[in-house]
Formats: sequence, C-alpha cells, structure tokens
Amino acid sequence: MTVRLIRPLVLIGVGAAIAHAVSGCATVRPWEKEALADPIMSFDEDAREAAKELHWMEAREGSTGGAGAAGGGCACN
Amino acid sequence: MQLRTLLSAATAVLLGAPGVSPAVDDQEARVSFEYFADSDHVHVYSTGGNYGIDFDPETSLSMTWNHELVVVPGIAAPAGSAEALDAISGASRPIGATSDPYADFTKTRDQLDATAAWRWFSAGYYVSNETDYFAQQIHGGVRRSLRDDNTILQGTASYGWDAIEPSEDEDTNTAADHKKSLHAAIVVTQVLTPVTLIQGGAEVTRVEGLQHNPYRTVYVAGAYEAELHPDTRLRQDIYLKVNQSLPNRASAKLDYKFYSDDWGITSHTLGGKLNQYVGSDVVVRYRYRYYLQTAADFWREEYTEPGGVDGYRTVDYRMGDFSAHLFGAKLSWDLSENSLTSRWFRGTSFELQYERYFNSNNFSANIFETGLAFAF
Repeated sequence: MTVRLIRPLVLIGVGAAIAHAVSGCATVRPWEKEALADPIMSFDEDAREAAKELHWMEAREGSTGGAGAAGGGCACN
Repeated sequence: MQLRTLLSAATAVLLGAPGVSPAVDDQEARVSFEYFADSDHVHVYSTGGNYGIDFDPETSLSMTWNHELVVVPGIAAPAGSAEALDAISGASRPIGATSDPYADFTKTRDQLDATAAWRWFSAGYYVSNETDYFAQQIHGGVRRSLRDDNTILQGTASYGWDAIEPSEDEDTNTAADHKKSLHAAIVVTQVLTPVTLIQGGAEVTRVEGLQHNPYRTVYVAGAYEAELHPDTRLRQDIYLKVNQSLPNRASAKLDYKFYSDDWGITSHTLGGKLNQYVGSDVVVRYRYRYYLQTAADFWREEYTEPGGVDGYRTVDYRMGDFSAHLFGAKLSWDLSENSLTSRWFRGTSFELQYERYFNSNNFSANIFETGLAFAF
C-alpha cells in the first residue's frame, strides 16, 4: 500500500525531471519553425480528439488519462 | 456582427470588466456528428460542437457541447446476469425481464463545457446530464511559455462531483449516491529541433464514492450478490508524445502512456499516427493504438469465497486483464485551399473518420465521425 501511495510522488518527480531535462535543449528560432507550425504537427487536435475518445474508452477500459494538453502546436502561440 | 458584440460583452462581464467590450480577433466553430456501434448492438448517435473566440492575444473564451442518444437493445436474460453489460455511457443497461424483453432502451446525455482564458490562467465549468447521472466539474489551469516559446509548462487541476440516482427496477442494488474526483496534471511541451516536438505529462486523480454498476449482481459462492467495488481509488499515469515532421509534407506521431492505480490495475498504451498531405488541401491520417492492462486485485473469473475478495466482487470486464487494438483512418479537407471551393467555403474544413476497435474479450466497435470546422 505504501508503494502505491508514493507512486503519485514518483510520477510528479519523473514529470519534473522531464521538464528539467528538456529545458536544456537548444533554442529553435521563430524563423526555423515553419514545419512545426503546420497543423499536422499540432498537439491541439490530438488533445481535442483524445478528450472526446476518453469518454467512450473509459466505459470499455480500466485506465484513464493521457489526453495531453492543447496549445503546444508550434510552441509559438 | 451582433453575435460578436454580444459575446464580447458577455466575456467582458465574465472577466470582471463590465463596460469594457474588447475587440474580437478570431473566432472558430466546429460541428460534428459521430456514430458508434459495437458488438453488443449498442448504438450511440452523438452531435457536438465547439465555439472559440479570441478577444485579444491574451483573452479567449471557448465552449463545447455534446448531445448523445444511446440506444441499447433489450436482452432476454435474467435480471442481474453477466449479460447486463454497461451501455457506452457506463450507466444502466436494460434487462429483459419485463413484458417486452426485446424493446430498445434509449437514453440521452447532454454535456456543456465553458472555459475562459486570460494570460497564463484558465478556468471553466463542465456539466453533464443523463437519466440517472448528473456530473459537474470546475477546472482551472496555468500555462507559461518559456525560452522564446520553445518550452510550454502547463498545470491543471479539477474537482468533479457527480450525483447518481439509479433508475428503479428489479435489479437496482444501490440507492442514490455520489462520486467525487480530484485531478491534477502537469504537462511540458518542448521544441526539440525545427522538425521535432515532444510533450510529456503526469496526472493524478483521486476518486471517492460509487464506482460500480448499481444494476449488476455477481455470482459469489453459489449465490447472487450486488456488485461492489472499493469506494476510493487513486489513479495515476505518465505519458510521452513525440511529433516528427517528415519530408514531403508528412508527420509521424508516437505516444506511450503508463497507468496504475491502487486497485491493482496497470496498463500500457502505445499509439502511432501518420499524417500525409495529398495535394495542398487534403490530409490523410492513419492510426494504430495498442492497449494492455492487468487485472484489479479483486477481479476473479469465479468467486468461491463468500463476499468475494476482501469484500469486493465484480463482473465488470474492465477490471480484468485484456488487450485491445484500434485501427483508424481520417480524411481532412481544407475547402478554403481548393480553387473550386474556396470562394464559398472560406475558412472551412471537412473531416471524415473511421475507427475499428476490438479487444481480447470479443468486444468490437465501429466508430464513424464526420464534421465541419469554420474559422472566421
């Protein structure tokens, strides 16, 4: 039970580690983001679809989550 | 124009600035129709849409609505038997012990979400209503863009409270009850290279209240007993998504999610999407998703001890171990990019999607969706 209770803390720690790791990435300049600005690279549509899909999948599967977040499309809005 | 003015004024009031009517920058709307049919002959007709408006670069309002009609065929089976599976809504399914066991059961569900965003912050309210289930939720978030917009940090939290009032029939096992959910998430989106984006996140949800089907019974040690799940559940997941731009106007997306909860269920979800432009105005997307989960601690194919396992028992196959596959294809047509249609459909796009889902419990479903999106 103790292990299960500390899982959320482990997950948050891993998330924070990812955030820290990616913060060290090289900066991509705005004029280099043409490919990233294309709608087919957007996370927005994925998040909208995933949120809708979760509704029926939660009635068919035991897990949940993972829809992600919108607004990360080209990371420039 | 009148609609814009009205919405501008309404949002100004919502944002606490009465008398100030901000100028409208952009609006977008989407309407969609979805048809779901599964191997249990459950049919769901869903019409929905959303409307978003940007008043200025820092202020926006979005609303999403959905109306569902669920048609569940009556089954000629004993009340409370294992055949009485959930409808797609996860709520009641009719059992054919009435005068007309083959009559279809229909129910409707309506849902509305409104979210306002200002600078780094967003807040919203969600409500969903169906015959025996009323759900409400408040949610909020904060978002920071860092390092020349190469890193976006987001944190969200929500609190939901559901009122459950099972319809009376011969196998209703629970009186009116409730369910409360507290959810928190952090998400990081990072530009890795000029052609690569990644997004990672972690989520935690604590659920308290009624979490089993009040209409179901379980065969336990020679007798039928009401289904019973624990009334608290701690759920968590972590995921990573990668979007890679490919030559010839294509992109590949990969995602992985690991989930676990204190009922003993763990799952792995692996997904991939391939987007490809066909000409300048059509995008075709192919998709595959694989899902694998372990069983809850109290799940058994057969319960031989009185009371079940630690007092809990279930016939909900979502509590068992199984795997699932989903294949899909989607076509998106930007009508404003086509020389023949751009004059009449400026800012309009059309979508058509088909998905096939099946799992190792012999359940399968076909999902069709079509929609129109407008930007103006």
